[in-house]
Amino acid sequence: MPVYPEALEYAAMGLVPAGAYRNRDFRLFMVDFAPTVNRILQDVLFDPQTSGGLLICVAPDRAADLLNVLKAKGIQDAAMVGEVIAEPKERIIVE
Amino acid sequence: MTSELDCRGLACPAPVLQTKQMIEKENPSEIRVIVDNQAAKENVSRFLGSQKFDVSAEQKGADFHVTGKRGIGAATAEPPVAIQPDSEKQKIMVMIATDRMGLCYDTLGKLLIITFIKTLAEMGDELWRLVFVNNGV
Repeated sequence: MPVYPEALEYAAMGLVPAGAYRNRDFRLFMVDFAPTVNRILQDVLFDPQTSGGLLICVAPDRAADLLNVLKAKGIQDAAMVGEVIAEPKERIIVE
Repeated sequence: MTSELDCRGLACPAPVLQTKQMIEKENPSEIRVIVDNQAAKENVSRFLGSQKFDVSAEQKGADFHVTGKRGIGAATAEPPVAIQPDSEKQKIMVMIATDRMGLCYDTLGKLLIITFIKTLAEMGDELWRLVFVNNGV
């Protein structure tokens, strides 16, 4: 997940919107964080401010092509951020 | 002496910004900030921690009292994080031509523009002029 370094700095200072805490309360029960994902990064991931990000779902065999096209069109920060897996059901695993 | 700050009724990020301003102005060895919501309690605690205070928080009725104490030797703690002045300082003019941020969601937009204006002071010397025109007046 591409993150502005300054976002982590400000989150560490407590500049976290109230909505981030509400998002956390709402979804935490279904999220498994790896130990490497510290609390600051967790809060940034729960942040409701999306900076206009767009999440695209695509079949796995098309993903690399899509990424190349996006980058060729000048969207340098386009990234593959995850995959949908069959098991475990209804869990969001963040590593 | 304990500096006390009442931030009840204030939405984020105002409690953190006011705490930051008080620390910059008074450099207290002990500070107590009163807030009335969980997010502000968490954020003020985190901010005080980042400024090398030992932080404790307790609930009093509907409010939270967040207390920060500076330990021995903490007088040399770094000053609150501020934007470092660049050698080539920018001059930034902010022009506001409307009373809301963005389109479509007017209630949210009006809240956002107020928060935006309140946080402009954090730009420090780089903020050169504020210009209000049309509906921004």
